Amino acid sequence: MLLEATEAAHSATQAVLGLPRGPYFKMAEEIGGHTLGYFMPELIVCFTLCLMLLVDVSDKLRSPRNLLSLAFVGMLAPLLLILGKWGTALFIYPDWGNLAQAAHFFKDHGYVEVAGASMLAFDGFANFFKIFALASGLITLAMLHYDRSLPRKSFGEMLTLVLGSVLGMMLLASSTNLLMAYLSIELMSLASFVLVAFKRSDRKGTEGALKYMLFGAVSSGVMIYGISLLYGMAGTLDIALMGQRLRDVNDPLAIGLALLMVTVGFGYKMSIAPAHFWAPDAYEGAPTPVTAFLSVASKAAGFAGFIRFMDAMAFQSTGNALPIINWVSFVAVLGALTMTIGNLTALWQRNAKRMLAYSSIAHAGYLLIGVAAVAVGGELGGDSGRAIADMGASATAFYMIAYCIMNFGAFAVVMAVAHETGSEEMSAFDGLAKRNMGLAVMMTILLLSLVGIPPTFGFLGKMNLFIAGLEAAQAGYPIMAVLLVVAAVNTAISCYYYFRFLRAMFIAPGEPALVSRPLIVSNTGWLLVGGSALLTVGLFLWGSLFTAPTDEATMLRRTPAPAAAEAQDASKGHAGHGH
Amino acid sequence: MVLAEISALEVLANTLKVLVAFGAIMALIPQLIWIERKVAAWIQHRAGPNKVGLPRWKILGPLAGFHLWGLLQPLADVVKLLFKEDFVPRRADKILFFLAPALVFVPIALAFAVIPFGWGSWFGQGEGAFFVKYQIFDISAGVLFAFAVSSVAVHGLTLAGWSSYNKYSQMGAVRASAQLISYEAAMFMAVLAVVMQAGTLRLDEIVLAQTQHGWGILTQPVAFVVFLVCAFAETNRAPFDFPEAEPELIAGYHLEYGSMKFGLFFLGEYFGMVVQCSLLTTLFLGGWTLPGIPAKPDNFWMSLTGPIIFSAKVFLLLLLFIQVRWTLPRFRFDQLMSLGWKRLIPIALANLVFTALLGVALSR
Amino acid sequence: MAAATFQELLSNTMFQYFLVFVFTAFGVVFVILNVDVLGKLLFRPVMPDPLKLTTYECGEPTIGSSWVQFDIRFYTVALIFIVFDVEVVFLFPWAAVFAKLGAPAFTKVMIFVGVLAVGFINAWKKGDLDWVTSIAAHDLAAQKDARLARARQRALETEERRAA
Repeated sequence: MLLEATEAAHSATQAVLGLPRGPYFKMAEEIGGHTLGYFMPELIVCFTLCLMLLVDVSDKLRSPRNLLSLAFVGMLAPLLLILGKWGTALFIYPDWGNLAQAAHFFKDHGYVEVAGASMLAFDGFANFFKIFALASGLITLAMLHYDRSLPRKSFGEMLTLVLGSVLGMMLLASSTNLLMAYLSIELMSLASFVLVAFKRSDRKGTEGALKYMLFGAVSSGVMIYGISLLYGMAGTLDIALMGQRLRDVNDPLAIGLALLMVTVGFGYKMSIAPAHFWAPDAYEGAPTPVTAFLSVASKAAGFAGFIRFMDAMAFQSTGNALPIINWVSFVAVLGALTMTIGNLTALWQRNAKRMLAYSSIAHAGYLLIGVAAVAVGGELGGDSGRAIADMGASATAFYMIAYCIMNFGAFAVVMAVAHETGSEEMSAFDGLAKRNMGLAVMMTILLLSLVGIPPTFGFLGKMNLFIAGLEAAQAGYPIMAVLLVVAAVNTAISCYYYFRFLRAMFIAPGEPALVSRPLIVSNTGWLLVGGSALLTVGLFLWGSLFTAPTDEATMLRRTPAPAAAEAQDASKGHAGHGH
Repeated sequence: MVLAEISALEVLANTLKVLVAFGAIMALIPQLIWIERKVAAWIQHRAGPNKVGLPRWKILGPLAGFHLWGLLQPLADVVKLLFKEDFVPRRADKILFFLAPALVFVPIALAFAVIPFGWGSWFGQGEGAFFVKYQIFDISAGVLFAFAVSSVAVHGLTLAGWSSYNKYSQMGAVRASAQLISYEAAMFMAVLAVVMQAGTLRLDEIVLAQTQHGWGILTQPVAFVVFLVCAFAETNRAPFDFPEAEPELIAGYHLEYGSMKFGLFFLGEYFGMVVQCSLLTTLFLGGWTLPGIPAKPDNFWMSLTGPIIFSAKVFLLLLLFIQVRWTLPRFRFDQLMSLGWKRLIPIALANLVFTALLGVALSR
Repeated sequence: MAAATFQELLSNTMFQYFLVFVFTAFGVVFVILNVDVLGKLLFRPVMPDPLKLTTYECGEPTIGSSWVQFDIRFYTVALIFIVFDVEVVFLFPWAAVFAKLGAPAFTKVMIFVGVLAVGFINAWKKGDLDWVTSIAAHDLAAQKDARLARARQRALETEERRAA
């Protein structure tokens, strides 16, 4: 399948260079028809979004149930479609023949070279993160359904924004072009700014959203500066081509600065250390389902974009790393910093959501272990390097699944408690075991998973990350060993604040008047809490279920260098060769 | 025509063309003000300006002291404005206060510069002969340029209101910008339909296309009406004169302005009217052409028919503008907004889609 | 056009933009001349007076800052306008060549316009295009209507009574 597509694209590219306009368009349409199927998931989300806007203003049709089912179908269908495409990959070629001609024309007249390059890649890596975004979108729908504190009147708007944000994440996972990546980040950010401020009369929400937005504006501004610098030096926005061309540019300071600036943009989405300041306020102020959505899906999309970018910038299959930034040390230091700051600050929190916000920052730090392993593998090159990088990417993806399940579950418990007590403070958990033993036990399982203690999926995830880190350290990177020690110490620290929940639930006496009253959880609530807790335990036993999908996520590493396309000059786009 | 081959004479001729066209407009605008006041007086059964005329100098003979129907009134007004003291309110933003009138005036003048008022003529013989277009400058995206530049003027109004440090000015400025942008969207969409029909963004080619398949007013009547209404709104004239609604806002955004700075706003407003009428003429009324008279005349004297026909059409439209101003009362602000957004934009959009549909169907 | 015409095209365009520059310069000089230079040459009077420099609000002393708050709806209008302005900018190039591109381009543009229309319909139905959106204003209007109706009813009744 992939081979055929590649062949067809190759011959079309050849045809473009020699032939005038008429026959070319026919070719483009042939390929266009071929590739549109790959883009169908995004199109469905897009279409659902438009439909949602219309249904939302129809007095007859706009009931929360209708809107929810529409959003549900609009995210489930693309998910199934992507599952159907599992194991295939495609790199889209430019289908603007004129651009290729224009490139020649401008080149002849002494202008900067215009490279028509690919925008999106539909590889295993993208597929994995798209499914991840859609799945967390679906869980968010369930949480929105469960959250009674939300204004039902503007349900449609909320779902539209969730869909828009998911669309941005899907596109970001596919982007092989910096401008595309930037636009995707903007799409998902703009939607989430509004989501955070959704309870309009809520002061905390407004404050959080404003901080989130200002931070987002600054970091995306910095990012676009970085992108423009890179474009100026490389003459292309295609990341694979850029990574290659930057090697010939002899200006370490400018390249280092530009790469750092672009990393700021991604780092903001991943909420890693120096760019994490928005997270606690936004997470605390946002409606709880939105908090869960942001802390899982948005973060995962940020990692997807960053891994793709870093991979292309630093490591080609030729094995020549871009010597400007030492990515291994850079990522390792960021990771250590992130987890330490997240955990140490979480210790002092009194608000359950705020504490989980800092914990999610710490988890971003753990995830960076996997990313650092990818960096190590790329720098080593060769077969052994590829093995380590695959391990890193696979462990990151694996941990993300674990994190998704346990984090959504924990936030669902916070929501269940907040519904009854009207408070998201730690004190609301006092004596929870007496009020609802089931909920307390579920929460305990989820917390154990968040710490990474054995009979849970979280343990498996952390173990995978540590194994990948150890492999990388053994390959001659002592800094990875240091990172692992820091991570271990941090896990110990995190026990303290996670166990504060346990103390509150099981030991603290709680207010007598409250404790005597049982805490009632609705069916959706049980589905969310119980489902995630059971999955957490069950997947400890059958975690291997996810080995194949997460290995799929490493298909990124098999993207060949655009050497073939480079030779063909004008219509660039990196040629994918099937594996 | 390579740049190096352009002779000094040609540059001179083109620069002269700029001077003549600009001078003619500047000289005619005061007369336009006189016409407006006379028409207003006629509609309201008043006399209008009828005192300022020739001086009582003996040398003029029988004409000494002749009132000339008040024709020299605008001249007197201009002289008065020139001799007025020019001061800036203490709390105003000095730089922006100066910049605002310029920002109103210059963009409108620039928009006028792309409008063709005739075909053009050859000058000189043999090798040195060159063609001078009757258009101040001829760029390939003329339509886009005209509208892009004229929409800069809204910044002038906004800055004027903002820099004056006056509540009324600020209100006027906010209203002005809301009104201008609301009607700009509909106007652009109306123009799109015309552009689609002509298949070009050059204004002169749009005129020539109209000589072939009928004037725009016949082929695009809906777009013409939308454009006309929007043109009233864009020039801030009644029934759309909200930015300076006297009973509520005293004088709106130019409340704190005096002397020639105020004069520039005044001039800019009338110049804007001339520009809108010229655009209407060019896009919908066949520009400088009339059936029976060659659109591309081949000698100098025949080429002068272009500017004459063009001015006549513009003049008739100006009379229409004046008549509408003194006939219709002012809207309410919510009516203004709902007319723009709920009527004109859907109509213009539908017209656009219909034109496209028809065009695609016919080209099959 | 043949390939050689590019140079011609370029230089003609350059020449036309040179005229743009001349014309703009001319406009700027005209403004400066009128506002500043001419006035000074004509001995424009200068009679400073502190009262002249105060803000004019019909003779009343000004109270508070002049940067008054204005309605949020102006921002809404500006936001919706941006959408349409961008749309038009995208449509202009297509409109100029749409006859040559034919049906494929037409369908694509219609999808684009359709997506915008969805947003427009949504904004319209949600009342973002209504100028009077305050609930208080609606209530007042409703009260006024009810009062009018009652008055009319009373008038009718008295008339009927009189007739009887």
